[in-house]
Amino acid sequence: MTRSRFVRLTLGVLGILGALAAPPWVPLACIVLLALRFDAWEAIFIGLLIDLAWLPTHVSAGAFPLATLMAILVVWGCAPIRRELLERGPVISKPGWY
Amino acid sequence: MTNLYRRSEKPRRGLWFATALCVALILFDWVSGGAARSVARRAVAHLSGYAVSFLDSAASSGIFSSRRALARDNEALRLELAALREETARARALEGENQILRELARVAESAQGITAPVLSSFRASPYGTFIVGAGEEDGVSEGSVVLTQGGFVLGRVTEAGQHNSTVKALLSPGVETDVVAGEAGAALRGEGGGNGFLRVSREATVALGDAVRAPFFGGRPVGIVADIERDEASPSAEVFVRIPVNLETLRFVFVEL
Repeated sequence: MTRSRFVRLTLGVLGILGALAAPPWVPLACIVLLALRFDAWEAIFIGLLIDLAWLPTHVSAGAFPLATLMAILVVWGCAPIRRELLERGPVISKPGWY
Repeated sequence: MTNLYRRSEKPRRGLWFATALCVALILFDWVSGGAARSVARRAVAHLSGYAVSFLDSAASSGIFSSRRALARDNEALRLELAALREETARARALEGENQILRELARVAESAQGITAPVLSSFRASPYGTFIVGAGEEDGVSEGSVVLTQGGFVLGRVTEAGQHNSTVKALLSPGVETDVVAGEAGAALRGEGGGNGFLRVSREATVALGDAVRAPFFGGRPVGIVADIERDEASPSAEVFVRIPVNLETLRFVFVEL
């Protein structure tokens, strides 16, 4: 197992366990760290798990799934940064007419 | 003209799939009136205990400390282990449980309800909720009041499943409740962790340790006055309220039916 995979797995497991038993900042930190480094689908599921487990009432009764929405926004919002800093090549290439 | 933004070479199918699945699950939960949540909550009720013990043992195992600290911890643990024999620990646990149940029985004398175990951590929820092990089959319904063993109001059931229920804590962040502290009436604003605060007139007769009662809950206490801050320049005083119970160690609650 590569170091990168190990880090991803550890953050994912910590995020899931944290969503169930640790203070809210633990899964939140895991979501942000996962989103900054990986195309982390598990970060979105951690957000979903928080909402399914802890929302006071269901969505149809007016509760807002804030954690899921936040996780989706963070994961997709960090995509350009991930591409620019961590993957091969820059996002913005030189324009042809320049 | 060339496009300024290069398309990603990776298709990100997993991310698209996860996003679509999560949105679909939320929509399904919406349409079904909480079916997805009740399944998840049952799983959480089972898994939460394991997760708490795993995280606690990971934290106390010394994984994150230095070698010297580990050796020190190891020595301390050896001494502790020698002192605490298995039989003593078991007897103590049973004694503690017995005391809690006896206190809850006293609460039950004044109100009709059932004793339910707390199945989840108090600190884990960002929404100020927790799960108790009693549901519709035990007579619990939405709106049932949840009390501590001392009779303090902890919160209300917001969603009752078959065998477990979600409780919204009264002092969860942002929740306001009309209360009477001493002889002054005010709105108590929850801050989470069993703490809250309210503003009363500077001349109001409120003292440390006074019970803060909620008329909406039949005059039951919701906390005690933990601190009062009076500023000469301000016409009002800030009163800090807390539940006189350690929520982290709360194992049983009383659910009024």
